[in-house]
Amino acid sequence: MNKLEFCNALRAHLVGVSEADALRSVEFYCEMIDDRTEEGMSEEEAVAAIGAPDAIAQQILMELPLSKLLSARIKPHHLSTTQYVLLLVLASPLWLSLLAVFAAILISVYAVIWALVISYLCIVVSLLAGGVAGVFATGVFLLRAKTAPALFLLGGSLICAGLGTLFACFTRGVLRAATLLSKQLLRFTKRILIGRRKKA
Amino acid sequence: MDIQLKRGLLEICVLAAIKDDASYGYQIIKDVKPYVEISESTLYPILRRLEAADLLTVQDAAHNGRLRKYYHITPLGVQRLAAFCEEWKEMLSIYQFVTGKEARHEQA
Repeated sequence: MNKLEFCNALRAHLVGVSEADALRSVEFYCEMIDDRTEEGMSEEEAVAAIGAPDAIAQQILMELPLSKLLSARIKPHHLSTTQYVLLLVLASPLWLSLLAVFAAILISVYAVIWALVISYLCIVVSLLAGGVAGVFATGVFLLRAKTAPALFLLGGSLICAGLGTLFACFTRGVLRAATLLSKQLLRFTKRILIGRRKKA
Repeated sequence: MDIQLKRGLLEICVLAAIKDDASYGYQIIKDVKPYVEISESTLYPILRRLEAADLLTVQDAAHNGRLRKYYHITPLGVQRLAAFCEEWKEMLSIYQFVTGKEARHEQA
């Protein structure tokens, strides 16, 4: 592949990127090819050293925000704006509901992840609070000279406090796992929108 | 190497490559390659991110009848490098502590 073919292929694969961004990326890689040929490489060698245009385009696309990828996927390029708007309006029952489903699934997965985190935190807080409250209640029972219930309560509150402290130690890990899962979910969605490319 | 760590280190390496003098893409790759694996496709997003974070600026300059992009470090970028060095002084002393302990353990 020579330099012109490479640049054209790269530009063609950058679907949905703004004109300015696409131009910048292509300029960058063309400059790299020029630098290499200056040092004595042939154009073919330089292009081969840089990599496959579709893999490079995929990397550039992965860096784009999700909203841009979505709009790029949906918009066809051969229509004028008026035609496009008309098409949108006429087809709205279809794409609107599809988009809603897509968004709903995405949101619900996020919600599940973070609901689990919140439940975990609630468990920790209630165990600790239970422990503290139990100690107070023990005091109340002791004041009324009811030693058996008091001891029972004391034991129970100590268990609660212990469990609460144990689970509290894991909160950082839980939060980190949830954040990682959310990030992976985002990357997964982006990858689906970009479309899978075969590795060269 | 951990991928997040590598990403951060690559950004630092790129800044270090342009610290003393403005440099261009291919030269940066040649400077950084002996220390950590880097290619055009990894360099490009890094340069975009650093520019967005105001750690470097880009200027076109004429070279051999074509335009070449030169990357200049900003004062903020210099600060970032200094912060990195401070962080790693700590890392180094911890490393010495760990290896020192292991050496003594082996001797025992």
